[in-house]
Amino acid sequence: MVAGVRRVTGGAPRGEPVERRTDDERLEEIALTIQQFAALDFAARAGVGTAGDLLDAVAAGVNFLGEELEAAYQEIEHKVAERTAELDAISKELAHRVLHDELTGLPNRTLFWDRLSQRMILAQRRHSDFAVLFIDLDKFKLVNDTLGHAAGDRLLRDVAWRIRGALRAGDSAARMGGDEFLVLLDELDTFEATLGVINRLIEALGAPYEIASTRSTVTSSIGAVMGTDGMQTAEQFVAAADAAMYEAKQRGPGSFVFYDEIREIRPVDSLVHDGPPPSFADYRSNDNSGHRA
Amino acid sequence: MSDADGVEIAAKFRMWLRSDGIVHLVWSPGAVMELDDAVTAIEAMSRLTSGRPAPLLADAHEAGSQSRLARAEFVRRGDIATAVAILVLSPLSRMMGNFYLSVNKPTTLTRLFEDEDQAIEWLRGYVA
Repeated sequence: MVAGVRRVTGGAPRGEPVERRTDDERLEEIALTIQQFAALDFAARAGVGTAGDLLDAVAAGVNFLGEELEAAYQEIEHKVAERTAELDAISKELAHRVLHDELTGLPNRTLFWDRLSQRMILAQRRHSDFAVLFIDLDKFKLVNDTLGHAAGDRLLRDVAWRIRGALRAGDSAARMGGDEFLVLLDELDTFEATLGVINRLIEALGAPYEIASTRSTVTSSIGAVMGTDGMQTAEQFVAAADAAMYEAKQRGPGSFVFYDEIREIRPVDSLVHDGPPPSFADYRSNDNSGHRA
Repeated sequence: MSDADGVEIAAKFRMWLRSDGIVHLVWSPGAVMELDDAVTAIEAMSRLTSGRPAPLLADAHEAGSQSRLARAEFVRRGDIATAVAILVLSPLSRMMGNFYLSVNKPTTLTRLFEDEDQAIEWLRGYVA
């Protein structure tokens, strides 16, 4: 019984054959059925007798209305559920797009920054170390200029796929834009373990690529920074990796440099200045060399 | 089930093919028409006419109520009839007939009659 709906009082209760009820009792039942519809209980039904008289007609008509209301209500509920599911899927898709690179499917700068910042917060509570790698393809512009952007895009997707394949569970990779990728290596117990992952990555990236129906080798310059020594922010961390990568570029295609090697000439403090929210342009503005492949 | 004389008899109805080509359907007193009954009736008519559309005289004046799904099935399979005449000889059957026309909106030509002779006369115009 729906709250607030008056029960049939007196006379024959519901369930009693319609033929044995008085007209008043039948009308009262019909009225009660209508009240239940008003309370969204569309399963309510008035008894229909075998006489086929006017009261039977009214009762059946009310029941028919209940059936139609019930069907319409269910249809609306179904559509609402359908639309809700669609919106949910769109919302998830949008959330994914906001945090991922459309071309490669890798996390983008925003998501990487978030993960790196989170890892830095946890640094004091974890014994294991972590590292950031800055990867820049050598002579990528040449691929774009000579083979076209479609070939360039294909190469970037292949690189992303290889980076993913070389990493361990818990590591993160991101595309920063252009031909630049960032990697966060987590849970590094020893320096040798770090080198092991980096070597695997270099080996994967160094294998020939299928570009525009030809097999070509595309090298990458990689800069790495390990541990939080002297670094307070994700910006500093990435800037240090970038500085190391730049040094690798200077040494020649396919080079790899740890930030520790250049720390004295490029101290942390010189990499990023205090100021507005971070952006690549911000920390790159410290470097006037304009390097990029 | 069908008997040798071309009469279809089910738990809730009788149906036969008249010599003038009209199919006559009579629902049993107090019968409540559910989806299964609608399907059974449509199959019975299809057997009687060998699947060819024919005019249908539906007499439900002694029948009980009718479910929404049953009405929907009659509309969906309206192609089995060239025209449908519904006898509405009681307030209940009249209400059901009007509801069927106004809410379910059958695509097959359908009219309500209070006189069986008039209904048959009208249906004769739709014998293929």
